[in-house]
Amino acid sequence: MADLTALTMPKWGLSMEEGTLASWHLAEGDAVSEGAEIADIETSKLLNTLEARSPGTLLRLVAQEGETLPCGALIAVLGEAGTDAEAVEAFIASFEAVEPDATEAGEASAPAFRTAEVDGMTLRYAEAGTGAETVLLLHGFGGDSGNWMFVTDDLASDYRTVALDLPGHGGSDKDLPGSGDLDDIAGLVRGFIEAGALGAVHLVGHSFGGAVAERIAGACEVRSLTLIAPLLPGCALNRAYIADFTEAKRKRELREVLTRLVADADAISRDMVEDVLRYKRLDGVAAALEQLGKVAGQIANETPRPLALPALAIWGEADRIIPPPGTDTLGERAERHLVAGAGHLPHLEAAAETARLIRRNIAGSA
Amino acid sequence: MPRKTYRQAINEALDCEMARDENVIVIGEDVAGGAGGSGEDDAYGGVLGVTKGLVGKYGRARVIDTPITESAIMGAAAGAASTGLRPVAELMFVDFLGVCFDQIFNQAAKFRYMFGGKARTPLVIRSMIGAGMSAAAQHSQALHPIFTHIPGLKVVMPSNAYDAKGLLIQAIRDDDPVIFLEHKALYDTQAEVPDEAYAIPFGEAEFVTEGDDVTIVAFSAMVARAKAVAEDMEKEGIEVELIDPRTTSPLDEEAILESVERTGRLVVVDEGSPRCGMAADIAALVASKGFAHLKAPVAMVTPPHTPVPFAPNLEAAYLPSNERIAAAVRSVLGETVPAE
Repeated sequence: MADLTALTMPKWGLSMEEGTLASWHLAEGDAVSEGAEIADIETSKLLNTLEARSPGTLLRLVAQEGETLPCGALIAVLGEAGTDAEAVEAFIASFEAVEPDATEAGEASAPAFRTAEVDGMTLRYAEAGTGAETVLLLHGFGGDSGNWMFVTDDLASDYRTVALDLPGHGGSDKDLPGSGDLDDIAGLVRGFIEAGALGAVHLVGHSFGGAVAERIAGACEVRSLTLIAPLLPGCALNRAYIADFTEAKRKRELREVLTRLVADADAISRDMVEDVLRYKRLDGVAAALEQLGKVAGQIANETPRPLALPALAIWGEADRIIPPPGTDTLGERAERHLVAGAGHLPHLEAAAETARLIRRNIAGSA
Repeated sequence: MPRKTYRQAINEALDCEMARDENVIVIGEDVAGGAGGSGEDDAYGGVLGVTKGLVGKYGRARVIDTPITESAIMGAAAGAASTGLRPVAELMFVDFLGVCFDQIFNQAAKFRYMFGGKARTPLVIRSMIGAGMSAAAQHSQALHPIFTHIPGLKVVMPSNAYDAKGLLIQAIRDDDPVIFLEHKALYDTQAEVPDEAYAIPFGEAEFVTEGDDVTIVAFSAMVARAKAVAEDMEKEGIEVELIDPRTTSPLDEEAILESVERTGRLVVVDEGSPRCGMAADIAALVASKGFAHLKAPVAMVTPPHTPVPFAPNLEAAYLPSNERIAAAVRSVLGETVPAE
């Protein structure tokens, strides 16, 4: 029996049920190296590029461009060059799609939402993977754990990933802890780490979540710190974005605001706009955003200071919310890495590259 | 996100607000289920099960069964609202409006105006509208235009479960009388509905589909029909912008005019009778404020000016069908339409 590998429709995030094969980057017969871009997959939220997890030769493209398939469905067959066509046919015929959600408990990448009670508040998080080391991911202002869907799909093959909904966001309580300042929020997340006995984690924080991560890293033991377009003292925060995001009540208005987050405006889908609008209508969210917006402004007003811990700072080159600072203003404790073709959300727009950078930073801390 | 029915969504909205604010009460026929009878409490939860479970949670003092007198229900609710409670009164079938019209349009709707802006009347009247269930002429009307005609009333017509919950929460929190009209053909339709409370502001239309070729404005149960037509048209390369105003009063005029400015073509689909109805109202709005942008006459798709027939085949012919909506879209696009 030839050694064949099924490439399947990925499941990026808990809400993804199907994806559309937008375009193939490679043709049948092409050699595939690990990390090679194989296809663009369109979810209802965003377009993302599927990369090869293992090398081989692309023997058969099963899915057609434009075809929409459920997660877990066979899209291509990978194997050794020159594999008998009949063996490939037999492999395709015997392939049984496995809905990634339905896999046995303990399956490395089956993600699930869970909740934790910390200081009288309910916090929701998405957990995936079963590695010995834990990566804790903190999203930005107005985001949620779903922002990490592409990155956790990659990281969960080697690490336990915990993507938290910060208070005021996602499925967590919409009140803010204490008076709702950065220390209160960082304190609550530390409480979450302790309550879940996560131990020393690898911290990854985006934007406002970067500010929270940096504050935590200064107060308890963490293994590594990766900051993505972090909100740091003295940064050139786009305050109009915060105000407009908080104010926007209509779809068209909100879409325009959200397109400022990305390099390619087409990346913002109707569904994504709808999801954010629905989130903003939930009781308590307006008050939480208003308070967090103030906190963000205060952080930007502070005088720059060295990071609590050496960190990898990843920035999209086209970031219009917190433009990449010069290496001199960032300080010597941060290694700055710019990602081409991405705005404020490199973990969504250039997910594979961002995941590789996070892995490199985690490995470098060992 | 959990999928829930329109019925569950309305029940959750009542539950959320009753839990949040003890001034919220529910009053109507059979809302607690069989009061005064020998039957089981909460056996039904309203004729369509919408209020089921509330009496067990909030008790008889806040879920009040009434005799079959709509005038008493509406009068009691308007009075309760003026003393600070937030009643959600049920007028089971909107067709019964005739016997309690004074309480609604000459009392509740006028309090704020008559008392120099100092009176608040946080009253919600829930009621069922619509044909399609073979309930005959006295139980099938879509009377939303009558309420829309009365200054002082806000009129809400949710077309799906998500909107139903958010609009009812908004209605209960509103300080003016709100008429909340549930289409009886929608109770079992499902949508993703958050467990948490959320409010959808009044006067903000939903763009159900977006397109630059034709604007369709549709209300309540007609939204799903217009959406099916829009999806069919998309396969032919015709891009329909479908607008669901969600509330007829206040009406999101800006959304409609802005859309017609781009498309130049308008079809209005409404289940109300054609005379003095929403279709005529929106056609007049666009004719007076957006005439320069129109490339074709406005098409109105409504039932004929007759009572709702009982015979199922006639009732089906009475309602605006997908075919009639599609024909109207083609007519404003200037295509020849085969005779019906």
